[in-house]
Amino acid sequence: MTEPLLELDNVDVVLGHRRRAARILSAVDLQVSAGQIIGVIGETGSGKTTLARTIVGLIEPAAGEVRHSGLKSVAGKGRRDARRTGRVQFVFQDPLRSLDPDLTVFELVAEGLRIRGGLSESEILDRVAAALGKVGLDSGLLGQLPAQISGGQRQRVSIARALVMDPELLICDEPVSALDASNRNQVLRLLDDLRSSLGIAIIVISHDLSSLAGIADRVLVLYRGRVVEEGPIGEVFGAPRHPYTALLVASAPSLGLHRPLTARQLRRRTDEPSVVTAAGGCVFADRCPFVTEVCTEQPRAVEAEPGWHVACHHADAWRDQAVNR
Amino acid sequence: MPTAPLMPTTLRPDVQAVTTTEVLAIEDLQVSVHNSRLGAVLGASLTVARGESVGLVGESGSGKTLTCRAALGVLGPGCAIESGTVRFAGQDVTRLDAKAWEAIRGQRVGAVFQDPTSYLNPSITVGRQLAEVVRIKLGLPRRQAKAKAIELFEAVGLQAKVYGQLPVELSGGMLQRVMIAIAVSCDPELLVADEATTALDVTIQAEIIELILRLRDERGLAVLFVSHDLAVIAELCDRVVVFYAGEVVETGPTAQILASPRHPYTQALLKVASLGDYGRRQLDVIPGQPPSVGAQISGCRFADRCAFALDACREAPVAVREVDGREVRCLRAEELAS
Amino acid sequence: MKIIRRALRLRSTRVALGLLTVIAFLAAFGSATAPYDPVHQDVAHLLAGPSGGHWLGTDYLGRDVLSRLMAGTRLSVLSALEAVVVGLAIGATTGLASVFLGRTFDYLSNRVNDTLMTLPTIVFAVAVTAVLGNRLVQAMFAVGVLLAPMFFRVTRAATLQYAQAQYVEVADLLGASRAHVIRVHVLRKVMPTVAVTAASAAAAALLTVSSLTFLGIGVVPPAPTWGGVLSSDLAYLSLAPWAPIAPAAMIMITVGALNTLADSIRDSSRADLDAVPALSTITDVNSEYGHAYGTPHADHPAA
Repeated sequence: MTEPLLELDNVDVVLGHRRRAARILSAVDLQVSAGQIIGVIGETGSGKTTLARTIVGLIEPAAGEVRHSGLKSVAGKGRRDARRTGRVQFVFQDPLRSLDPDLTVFELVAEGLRIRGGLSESEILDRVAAALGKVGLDSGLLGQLPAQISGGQRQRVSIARALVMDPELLICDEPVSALDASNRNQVLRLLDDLRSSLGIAIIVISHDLSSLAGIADRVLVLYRGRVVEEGPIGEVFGAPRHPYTALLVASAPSLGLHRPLTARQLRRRTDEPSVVTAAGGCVFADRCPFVTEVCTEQPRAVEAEPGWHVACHHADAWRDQAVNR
Repeated sequence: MPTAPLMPTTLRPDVQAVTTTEVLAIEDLQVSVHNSRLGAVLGASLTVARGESVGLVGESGSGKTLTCRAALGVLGPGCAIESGTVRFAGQDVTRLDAKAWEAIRGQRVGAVFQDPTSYLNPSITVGRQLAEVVRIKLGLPRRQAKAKAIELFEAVGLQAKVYGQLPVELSGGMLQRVMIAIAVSCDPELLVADEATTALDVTIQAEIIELILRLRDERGLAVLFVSHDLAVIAELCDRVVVFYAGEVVETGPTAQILASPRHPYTQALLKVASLGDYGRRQLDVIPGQPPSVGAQISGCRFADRCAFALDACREAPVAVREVDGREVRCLRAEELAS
Repeated sequence: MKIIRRALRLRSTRVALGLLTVIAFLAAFGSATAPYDPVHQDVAHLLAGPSGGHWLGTDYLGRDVLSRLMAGTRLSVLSALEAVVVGLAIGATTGLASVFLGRTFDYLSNRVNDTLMTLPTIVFAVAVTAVLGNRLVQAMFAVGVLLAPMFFRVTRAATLQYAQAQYVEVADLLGASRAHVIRVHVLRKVMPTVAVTAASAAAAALLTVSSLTFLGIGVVPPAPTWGGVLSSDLAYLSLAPWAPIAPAAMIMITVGALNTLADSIRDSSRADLDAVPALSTITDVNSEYGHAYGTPHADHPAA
């Protein structure tokens, strides 16, 4: 069996020093193989950005391992070399901030090639034009500045800048949340096309379920640094096994108005009893309406079905309660 | 959600005199930007009645935010109303001066925007900021203003202890609740929310939408909600006003518009909006880009992106017509019934 | 480039540049084109008023004032430039380096700058000439060292701002070296700020040159400088009250032109910022998605 492109094995991340140290990620497992699109869903404070930064080697995990194609990587020198060869590329949320406003599209896309070196000017031009072609941009834009092109085009330039390095893995942090619905779908379609035509793996990180719609194979739901549910996206969002995932799905605005459960049924009311949870308790306990005494202990992720993990003590029981609320 | 006892909804005498329930009526509004050089809103008409929520939806640059700003009397520098009227509770407010607006804004119209932090003073507790508004606008003495502020916090689902907290101590969702509390503090007739839930987490967004709906029902508020996301509008609004390139292209009840859109642009928007279906599929897109702000186009402004466009569409401006219980700006609206 | 083009559209910039071109011409060819030898003494016409023969009159030794001003341009301007170049070279490079070379260097360079800023320019220059010899080159080198903090502070502030930009992080992820980041992403953004500082520093340096030469520091008579001319004229104020006007005007015009140039560069680079709110009023606001606050569970008063 071939090694997955990226493997996170029981990764803990702690940021800050001594008394101000805070555990941002706990026991995160993640596997990405070539040609896969993995969605990571997390709201404010879930640690999704930290996860991305750990994967690219900007942050060293406190425990656990990050492996690229089976090779253990450490933040710093070795990872820097891995990045230099361009195998893992990052696409940021807001192209207005991640693209230098004074550089032309050509200079922006060419930057990585120039840093890596070893190419003649005409080879660079060829590769930049090819990368722009892959993201569906006209090479007439080469001389434009970021401010002179539209929001959708700018995000495509960001993607082209990553693609020009021939990556195996693309990490996109909120790639479409600054775009309106039509542009969002265009960029998502582009990512889907890139996966099938180039065989690259893509991790899409977002707070918004619609940023994954239609393209992701698997989804990983993060809540306060822990993976609460992980599995095939259609199944996970179709019939969530974790109350938090269910709340996310019920809260996401959509035109398909049939909802098996409403957000109201999945929120705890103020008059309902709460279980005092100590630091070791389930991360979702203080918002969960189905909380009981056992929730004072963090549940382990169990495989509910092949390839579908959930970390909840009441994974099988809460749905019946919710329907009657 | 804690539901606090609510103040009785009182109508002011001057409002009772008005027989219509129409709180806001915008008629054929035209707004220019860049010192009259470009027309950004080219004819927008809409009404919002008491107890009704109306959603403005459209892409960036479609004119929905400018229309909403014009309704609040807060157009930015270089922007001006060229023609058309804005009527608030029967009173023509199109050419009102800044001083006269002060009496309406905050008192009879409340507003909530995308980024609450930029509207709150970071060094004063949110409770004092709310009490200050109540004290000045309602003329209450300090002690009563504080009691009223706590009452308002509870009405928007915040605990009384929030009164003594600074904006930095509160999360985005809680700050937006504070902004809503400030907006409804003077018991306004109209609440304007411009992308008020856009920057929030989805679970919090759902709670804020529920809160706005509850306030609408309990207080008979008229709500004007602006968003680029049709799915959010669909959750919250009784009627939808669809903007495209500065024009209103379709207006009608939400359920009807979702079930059978009569304008090709509305149809396209429905296809690209979130459907609650997350499995793998081919995503729809709207081909092409909208015309730039102020572009001179002789016929229908959507014609270049429209699959149904005829030669006639490009020849002359298309007027708004009433088709099947809603207003549509399309020559082929009847044929598009699905 | 955009900034230069925009600056050139302002009339004040063109006037300032015109004046500076004339000064530059005088600095290059002043001695050659002067109507008289600037050190030739005409004892028949001491302290003569302006006339057809001597447009700006003569001084106490009968030397032609116009010729002395024209010939003195080179030394005055070059000395001022020397100070600016020295200040820029020391200040801007350490300013850039303080951001990229770690906290120890940052701390040390800041303290050195604080120290330099407390030194009075003229006194320091006098002390340096006393040690290294009474020549203008030494004096202006000392002045340049004291100008360095000015460059250091503006360069450091501007660099700090740009070094934290997200596109710098992107370049880091691509494996960029510090040199690459500085060259591609920082330098061209810091340049306008440094240019503004250089123009106002040049004006300050010119005044210092004039002050030093007025005091007789750094120049050996009879070599002409603007400050020297002004100084000798002031000694005979009661006999020729009009005389100081011409050298003072030269200094004033040059300093004024430099400051105007500095202002217009600064205004033109600010125009970039001014354009932003005007644009945002016409586009709907959904480009900024702040997720800056709190944790989600904090939204629940129940918790």
